[in-house]
Amino acid sequence: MRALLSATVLSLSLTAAAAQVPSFDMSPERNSASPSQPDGSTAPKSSPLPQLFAAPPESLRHYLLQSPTLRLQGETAVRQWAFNLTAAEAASAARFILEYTNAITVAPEASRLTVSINNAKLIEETPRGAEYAVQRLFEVPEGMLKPGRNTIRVHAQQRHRTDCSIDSTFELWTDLQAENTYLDFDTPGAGLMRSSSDIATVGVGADGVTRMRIVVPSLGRQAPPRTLLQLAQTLALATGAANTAYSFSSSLPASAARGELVVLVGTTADLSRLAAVDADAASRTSAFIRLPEGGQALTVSAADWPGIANAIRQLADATIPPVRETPHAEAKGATRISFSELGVSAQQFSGRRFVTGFEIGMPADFYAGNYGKARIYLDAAYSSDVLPGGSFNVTINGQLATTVPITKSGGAVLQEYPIRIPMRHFRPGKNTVEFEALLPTKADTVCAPGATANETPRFALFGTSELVIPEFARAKRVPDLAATAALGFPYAGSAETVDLVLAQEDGLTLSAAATVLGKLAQASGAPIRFETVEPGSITEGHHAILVGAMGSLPPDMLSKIELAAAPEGENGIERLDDKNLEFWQQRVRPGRVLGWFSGASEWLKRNFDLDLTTARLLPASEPERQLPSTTDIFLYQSADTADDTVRTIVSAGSAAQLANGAEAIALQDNWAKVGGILSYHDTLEDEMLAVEPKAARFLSISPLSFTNLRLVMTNWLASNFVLYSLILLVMAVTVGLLTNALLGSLGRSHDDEASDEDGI
Amino acid sequence: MRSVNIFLFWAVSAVVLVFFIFLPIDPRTQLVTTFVVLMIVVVLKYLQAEGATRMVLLALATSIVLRYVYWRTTSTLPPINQPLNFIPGLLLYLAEMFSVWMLFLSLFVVSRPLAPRPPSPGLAEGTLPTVDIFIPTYNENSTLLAHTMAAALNIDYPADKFTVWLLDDGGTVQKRSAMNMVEAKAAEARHAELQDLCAQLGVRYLTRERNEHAKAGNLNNGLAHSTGELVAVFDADHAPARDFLKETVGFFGEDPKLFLVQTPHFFINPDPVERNLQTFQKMPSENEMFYGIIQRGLDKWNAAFFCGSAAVLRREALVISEGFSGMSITEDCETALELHSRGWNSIYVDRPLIAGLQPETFASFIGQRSRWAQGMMQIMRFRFPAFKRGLTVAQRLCYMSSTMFWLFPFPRFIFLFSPLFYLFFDLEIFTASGGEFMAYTVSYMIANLLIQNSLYGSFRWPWISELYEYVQSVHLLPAVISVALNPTKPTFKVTAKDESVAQNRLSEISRPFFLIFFVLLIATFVTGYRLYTESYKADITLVVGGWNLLNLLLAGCALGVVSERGERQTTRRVKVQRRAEVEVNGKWYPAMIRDVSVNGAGIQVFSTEVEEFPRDQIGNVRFQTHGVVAEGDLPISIRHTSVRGEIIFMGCRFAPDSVAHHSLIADLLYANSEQWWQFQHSRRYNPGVVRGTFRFLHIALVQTFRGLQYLVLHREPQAKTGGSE
Repeated sequence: MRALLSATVLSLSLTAAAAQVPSFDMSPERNSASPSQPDGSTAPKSSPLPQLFAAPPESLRHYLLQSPTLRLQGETAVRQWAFNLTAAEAASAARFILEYTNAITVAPEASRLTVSINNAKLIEETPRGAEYAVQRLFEVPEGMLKPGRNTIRVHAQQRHRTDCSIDSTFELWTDLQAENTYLDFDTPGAGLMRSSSDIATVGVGADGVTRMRIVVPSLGRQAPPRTLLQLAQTLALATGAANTAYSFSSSLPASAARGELVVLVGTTADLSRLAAVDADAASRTSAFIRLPEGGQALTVSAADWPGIANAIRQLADATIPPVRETPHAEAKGATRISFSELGVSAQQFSGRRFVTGFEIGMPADFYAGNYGKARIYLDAAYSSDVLPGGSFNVTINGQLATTVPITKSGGAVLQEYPIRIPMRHFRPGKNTVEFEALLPTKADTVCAPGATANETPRFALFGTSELVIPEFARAKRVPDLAATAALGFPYAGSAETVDLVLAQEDGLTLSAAATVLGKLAQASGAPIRFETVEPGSITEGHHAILVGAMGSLPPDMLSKIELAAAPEGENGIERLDDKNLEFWQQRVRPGRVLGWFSGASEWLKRNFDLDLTTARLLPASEPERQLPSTTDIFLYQSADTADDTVRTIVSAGSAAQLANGAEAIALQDNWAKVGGILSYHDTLEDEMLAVEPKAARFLSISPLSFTNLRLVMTNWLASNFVLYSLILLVMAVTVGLLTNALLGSLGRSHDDEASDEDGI
Repeated sequence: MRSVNIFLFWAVSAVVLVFFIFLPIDPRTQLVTTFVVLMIVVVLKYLQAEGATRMVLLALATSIVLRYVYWRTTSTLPPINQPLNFIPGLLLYLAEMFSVWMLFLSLFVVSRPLAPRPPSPGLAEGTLPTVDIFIPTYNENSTLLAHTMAAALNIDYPADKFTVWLLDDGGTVQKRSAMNMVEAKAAEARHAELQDLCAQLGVRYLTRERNEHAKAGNLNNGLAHSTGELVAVFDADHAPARDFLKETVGFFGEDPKLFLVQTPHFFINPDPVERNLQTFQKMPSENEMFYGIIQRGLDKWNAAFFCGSAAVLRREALVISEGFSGMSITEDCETALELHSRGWNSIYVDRPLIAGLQPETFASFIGQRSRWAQGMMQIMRFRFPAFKRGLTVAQRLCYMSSTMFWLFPFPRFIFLFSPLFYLFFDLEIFTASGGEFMAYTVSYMIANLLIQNSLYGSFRWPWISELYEYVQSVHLLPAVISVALNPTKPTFKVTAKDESVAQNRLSEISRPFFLIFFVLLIATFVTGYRLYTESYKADITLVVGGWNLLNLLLAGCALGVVSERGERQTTRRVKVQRRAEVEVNGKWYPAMIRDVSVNGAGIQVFSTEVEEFPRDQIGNVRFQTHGVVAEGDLPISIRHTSVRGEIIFMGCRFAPDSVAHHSLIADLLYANSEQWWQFQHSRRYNPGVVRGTFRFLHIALVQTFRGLQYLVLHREPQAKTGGSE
């Protein structure tokens, strides 16, 4: 009975784990979960820091984290990303300042926090941040830093003080605080940008965001929006920033903060009127000037605006775009790739919940979300201590995709052990795959003091494990904001220029347009070629992007979208949205018969993703969508049925919301969630939500081979399963009737009327 | 031209259907589709679909089967680098695919069995062909032979147009001069006795030098000594009805290329399975599926084959094939295959015109089936029907279906032991989740049951095929393997039909059944244990355990099959209605004969003078015969009586002392084929899948306990010491 119970508890915890683990990820671009996440452990109080050293002024810090807080959760967690340094910075003596806190449950003697730069270990720290935030200073050895791109890798190995359960591993965390985690350089002015190739070293602010402040003295007068937005794209590519925020203004600020790139754009005449700009800078196409109260600004100028456009092109050519952060591998079709090629090397593990992950890219015309299975052929081993009841779990893009129970006791060396993963959770662009091994042992159930510190490995994963993706259907479809956001589809590399419609040409609208174009340029690795056009004059055959507040866009384009009116008054009253409905549904106990029914339908939903209430014969037409009143920005994609072009609308209730929202969606975590037909940012929970379309329109299918057409048909029918049933039914009936006719004319039949009287 | 068009349409739509079936669709779509399709199939089934609708039903259910095949092939095989999983996994896969292939062959053969033929066109008296009736015998006793010969002589056909031959292989020169003196003496005595019997009856006795080529050789010897245009063959225990030739000979006049008219083998006693399960009166016999459906299906494709007895053949054709082929030990099918390949035709008349005997004991039943299985394997080996020149495509498929059927012991064994790989050794030979198993395997099994029931419904009840296959497989598997290794080795062994089981006992070949049963029983306990201790994989354990439970039910039912019931009545009684008069002490009473067996009869006497009918009283019975050969009184000896009102019910034993008396008994027993037809039809109805399943469940449980009871009480009944330890 006890075994049964504990197994039940275990399976419960599994689901819980799948639901709440923030996806582990080796991506250099993703933030961790927000630190406010309730997890039952007591967060250390943030107390005054013991100041052991003089902190440099904020403007001289080279911040490193890409989010305000970086959380490392679980028994093993790794984050890796890149930052850029100027030559002077790389040559200078430097200190690494680190501030972190950790859960009180983390056992210091059995845990370690390691920071490596360019694959060399810099810090090995015993986490002691349970009581208050710990700030530590480390001298960076000479030669560890390089000019240009540097990689940083943070690895937390954490063990629980008292608890040996798998559940308890979720209570383990270490938070790195961005505000006080930075590099400090001895050489004064080491961080000064000297040439356009230094633009990437602008880095991030204390909140992990790179801000582009574009100053245009003639904003709203002569300055053509197209040129300004081309500049925005160039900056996005040149900085390679993960989180961007654009602002357009006409007056030059007195200073530039850390992680802020001030760009002054104007004709030579415009610039020479400004006191901060010397004549030399005004006469050059681009230069760096010092701002009066600190920091630098980049000037871009020419005699006239066409000249400025040229100057921007030159700037783009002169910058060496930082290496694009792409997944380790892309599946262009059937793919077989080893874990070591995916960046997962052989490793041993002594804890109870092993986690690792990798990324795999899917093409923009990936179309296999409804059928098919990928496989992991696992090369791994677990020791004889591991009890049956553990499992291997694979999570794709945060969704639990498959669970394979460990069923054999006595340990095993697994060779090419197959784990089948439904392709359902893959999507175009970058996909994060997380592999988790739950490894309970007998010692864990006893949990003697100090047991968690035991370093006897109980699991090993080998780099020879393979991910195998079968041949999958390839078809370009609209709408698919995921493909747009991740790969710039269909704007990247479009034969025709893209028509960009700006509802208004104010700074707010421009900043939203700059955000989207910058993101698309980063996604596709090259600037998007576009022309600005009036709302009514989108050229036939051109894909289009429309940016503007709802009121100023052509109403017919937003006929399917409605923004809910803000509720009257009373802040603080919770909305009764879907989540609350679910909450209450779970708390109402249905009658017995109804209970069986709902039990059966839940089983269907869980095992087959089958919801009969939504089953229908033909794809539904797109319904009208109502967005919550707390939405600040949304992206909506549709196809122009006349010429099969794609329109993406970026809009909000007002221009101000549009600009605010643009900053929100530009955060890499949010941008990664863009998908479906409609994606919006809800300020209530600060979350990005995507709505899947009811039906998609095919733009093109290639290759037009039998194999691909068959797979495309499979995927389409799998999403319209009632139609599949009907086709099968009709064909089977036809074959049955024809067989009957055929049997009548074949073989012997001495009496056509006589039927088999006994054969019923 | 029209049929070519239909064929093209059919082929195109079949290709389209298969294209859609073979899409790698997801489990959700599969679940919805199979559910919808199965519901429609069930409704059609319930509406007793016929004709075109039945074809639609079969096509729908077949789609489900094919979807399973696609999924099973592409998604469920264990990886090849895990040989411990892969090898049994592959075997199971092949076994399943074999079953599906056999299902498709039987669909082809029996999707539209030929409706019963209209009666044979009568031939003018003068044009009737001459017929030689061959009764080959080897070791059957003279009483049995007397009845068969009497029934043959009783056939309604001009006396000058047919000759009855007793072809005795038990009295050959070789036998009579055997080295073993006892055997030689017995053969000598048999030779003399049968010669005498034949002389009395007016039957030609024929024997030969050596027992070469067994039954085929014996028949060929008969051919060499006779001249009739047609040859009818009756096994020694197959007594023909009076209308046998009238119902068959006419067809030869219609088609000059007709070489065979085959009729069903009807048995008046149960086979050991029916006898031990006591289903003879209620459930269609095993062979009715073959004679009631399959032969009719084969007949549609001109592929009805010779079953060794109860058939008429054309001498002209047999001359071309140089007699009966003796390469295999199933000379009958082999001969038909040869003649079909030479462009000759066969037909099947679906009306029981002979009554035969089945082996009484389980061991001889298995012996008979071993011969059939081995013979069919030899045909596969020596004359592989798929590549036999001269056969039509349809005939090739039909013969493949008939011969490959006998490979069933292999899949049956694999199905039996597959769950054990998981339950005992934790091997994963079928990779699928519980949900997928639901969506694919369960729907496939349901579709399969519905197809079987739709094809064979009233002839074969659910799960009975599985039971017969299982009880045969245990001993047939070694037989089939041995013939595969050494195809020329098996020799023709005559099946004993005259044994009887006097008292309850376990069959002498019952041991493996108990062994298997207990192994499966242990596996069932292991299932429970693992469900309890390893709840994290309960879904797989439940699925595999359920499968094992099904095997356990079959194995338990088989325990009843090998637990042979002792029977007081050694011969089966046949219900008849024949007016008669009974004479006791010189006084005649009006009477009615109600049932007859080879040894005696049940008679109602219209009299109240019960004191006139004491036990062991000798009397006579006189009745109107159907035939012309027999007439006169038949001596009886009274065994028991009971009175109900004005009627005395009397059981009596025949006391024949002349050949004429045997003819009278034969007339009573065999003359009227109508009564057999009625008996068969009384058992033929379709209980449906659900009711059939419950019925089987009931039988299985009862028989399991009976088998276990026999194991305890009647383990060694034959032991001379009579020792139960």
